[in-house]
Amino acid sequence: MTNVTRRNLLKLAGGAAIGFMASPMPWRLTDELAIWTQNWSWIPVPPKGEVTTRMTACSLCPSGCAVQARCIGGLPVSLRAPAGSAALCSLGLTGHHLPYHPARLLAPVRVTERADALHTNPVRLGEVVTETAAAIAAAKAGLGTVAVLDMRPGRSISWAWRSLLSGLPGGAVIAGPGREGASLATLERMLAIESGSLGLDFEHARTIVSFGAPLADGWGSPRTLQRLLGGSRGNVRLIHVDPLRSPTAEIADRWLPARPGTEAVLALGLAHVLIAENLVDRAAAAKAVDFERYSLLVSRVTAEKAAAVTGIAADAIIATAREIARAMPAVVLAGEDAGGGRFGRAAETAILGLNLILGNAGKGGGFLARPDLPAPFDSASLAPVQDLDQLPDRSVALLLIDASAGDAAFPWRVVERKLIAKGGLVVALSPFFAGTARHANLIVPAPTFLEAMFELPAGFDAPAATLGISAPLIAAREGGADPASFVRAVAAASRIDLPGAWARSEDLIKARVARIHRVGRGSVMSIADGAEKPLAAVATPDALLEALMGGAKWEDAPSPSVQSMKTMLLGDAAGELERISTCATAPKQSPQYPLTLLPRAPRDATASAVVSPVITKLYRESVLRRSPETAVLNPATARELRLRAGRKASLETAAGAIGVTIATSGSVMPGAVEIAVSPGAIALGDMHTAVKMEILEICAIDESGGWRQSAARLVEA
Amino acid sequence: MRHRGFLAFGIGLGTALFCGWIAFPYALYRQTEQPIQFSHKIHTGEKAGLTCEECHALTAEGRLGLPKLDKCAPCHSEPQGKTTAEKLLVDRYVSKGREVPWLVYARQPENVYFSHAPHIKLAQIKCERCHGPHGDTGSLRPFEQSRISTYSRDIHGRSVLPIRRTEWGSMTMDDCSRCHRERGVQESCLTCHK
Repeated sequence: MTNVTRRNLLKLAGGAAIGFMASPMPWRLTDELAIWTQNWSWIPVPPKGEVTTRMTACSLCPSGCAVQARCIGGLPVSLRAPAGSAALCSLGLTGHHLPYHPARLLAPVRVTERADALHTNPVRLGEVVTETAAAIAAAKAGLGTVAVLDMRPGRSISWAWRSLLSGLPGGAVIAGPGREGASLATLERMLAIESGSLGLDFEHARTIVSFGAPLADGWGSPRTLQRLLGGSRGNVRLIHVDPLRSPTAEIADRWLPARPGTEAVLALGLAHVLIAENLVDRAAAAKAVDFERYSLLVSRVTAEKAAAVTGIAADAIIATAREIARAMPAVVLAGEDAGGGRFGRAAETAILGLNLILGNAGKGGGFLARPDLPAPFDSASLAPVQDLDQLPDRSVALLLIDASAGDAAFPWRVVERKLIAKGGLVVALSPFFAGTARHANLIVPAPTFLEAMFELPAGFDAPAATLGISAPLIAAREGGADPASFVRAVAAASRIDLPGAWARSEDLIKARVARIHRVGRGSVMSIADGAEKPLAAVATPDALLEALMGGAKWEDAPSPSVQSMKTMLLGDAAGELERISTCATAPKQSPQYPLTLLPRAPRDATASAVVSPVITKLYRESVLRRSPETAVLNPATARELRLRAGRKASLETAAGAIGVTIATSGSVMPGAVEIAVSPGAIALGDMHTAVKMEILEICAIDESGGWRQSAARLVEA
Repeated sequence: MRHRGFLAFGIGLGTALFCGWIAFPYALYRQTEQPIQFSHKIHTGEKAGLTCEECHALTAEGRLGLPKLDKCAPCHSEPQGKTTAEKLLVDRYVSKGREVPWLVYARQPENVYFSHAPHIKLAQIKCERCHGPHGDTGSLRPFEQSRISTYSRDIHGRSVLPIRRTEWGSMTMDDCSRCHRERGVQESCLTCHK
């Protein structure tokens, strides 16, 4: 008899294990099981059906890029730019994924905060309307004011909000803080012209002087800028001022890495050279009521003094001023960053003042007058559109946030300080539980891109008014609310009569299209075949609407020049500029906070506040976008402060601290620390880190409500 | 005793190798016969004289695949012989106007978007490069589908080893990437994974 021993059994098992590993079974099983986990029955798959192509436009940011949607069974499965158009950004390319994002809201919710995270409880739409109407009634009784934070002003729904607020004491529509083009309001005040009436003519500019405008990162109209500043640039010169060696700095003909916070001094230094060498436009300068005072002020800021403050060589400042004067027309921009927001009031005034002494206002290749789109309905009175800093602190009892057409990144503190002491009621219309909406008490789900008709007025930098329409390709989710219907419901509950016969956002858009058709000016350009025809040749408003729904764009006729009789070179920042002009040295860093924190973000990661899960994976597994938890500083600064790359650290400012990982890069100038604002955890679909401190919440807020730079320190864990 | 130890080790090793190399592939794939037998040889040979493109033609949307019934019906409205397959084709499908539910060997998973048009028109790639020379086969082999991933066996290839014996041995993402690299053609995730 054969005895089966324990040793033999072990040998049998050992042989089996070796044989098993030497066969394809374990490797193939791993592969098969991995695929199996991706094909569970509850994972949705696109339906089978007829393959069709639809033309529409992207509504995720104000650029309104043309989009060709490939649909199967009527459902869009891929988006791309039509032939002849510039490529879509990563957000637009994956825009059809957003309706299924983990942060997508499917019913109205009340937000409750607990120690570890934000939580939501379902609430009926009727309750939201009732609570909103009650807050309006309280405001009418004198317990604060009502404001609407409009993330995309200029749409027809903005008129609906303005008419709702028109009868309420202190009612105002606030344009999103830090939005692109916000600095134009400063220039409009310097020109003493109506708000929202300026456009930009990049097409005819020979020099673009960009103070911090991320032109290569989606700022403004990316299609125009890609064409002008791309490989075959022609004779357009780009001068870029930025403390970071950003993608825009990389493509610039001249990069001026001014120390953060010294941009106003650099602008005054350039003005000094232009005036001293008689390179200014005398006729334009003569229009300035304060030219003498301005000249006296800039005479103190010699190129040598500006060099000492900004860190840029005096020769470079002089050469830049001459270069600008040589290649006119030149447009000078005080660019906003999608994460860093605007420059301060003084810096914007100093930078944009260069346009006035160069005579760029009302000239081709500079700033042009741009009549706005026709209003969707007539109204006897409308609430004003203001900047946030024009609202008194602690005044707003009810804040309505319209994030239905996208969102923006800004520190919530800039809004929070406008709310009455006990907090007030904040109601948001947003497709996602992300971005600004997370700060609301009540959130009503709004339709997102491809779920409803969205209108696309011209971007702030377009030379003429335009209108495109993003056509719906997906049925809107049940449980959501159309923004215009919500306005109507709140008005009815508050017994406010609204002008116009509209019930839904579509009605407002159709009414506006009909008015454009009645004006009969401009032309309609088809994206599908590039054909352009005068609006007068479009027979009916319905035909115009159909063309716009099919991806066409209406463009207004060329605008008249800016009619400004008197200009103010020092705007409303004379005092601040006087003080700046007398400083002879670079701003000193406190020993406690030796670094300058620069929050930055690409537009495609902030425009809708969420990112497609496909892009999430790409961002998490690559270095295409830096994480908001990575603080980047110059290797020399890291050595000086004994900080090591890859180490965990606490990034601290006077306002708070967040945990980061240190990274080093030569693209960041010494003394600065760059950090990405987004995409954050929620944008990337991680819904469990909702109350985590975000970078913008530790940024210092300056006097004009900006957060572009803060004194900071890094402490290794 | 020592020999017995070797024997036990050998039995374990042999059994595992047999299971991994021979039994596992049989167990992994479920075999299904095609709804009717079809002979490429008859259709492409002297008798019918068809070319591949006559049945597998690009549509206006750039799609290419198996021919629909309207391609078969003109010739097969009446049985073209006395075979069982012919009778089935006419009785079950042509006369009732029902499409033949062919099981597609080269069916890519749902997360893959593949267009034949640029590969055939632009790159001038022959059908055989990916699908192999099956134009002269007399019958259709059973359709084999993984019980776990549900992928067709042709995607990972007939061999359970990740070794390509022929150019058309498998149709995985690595195969696509390899061919793109060989031809110096750009590739990106979103080209195929929308």
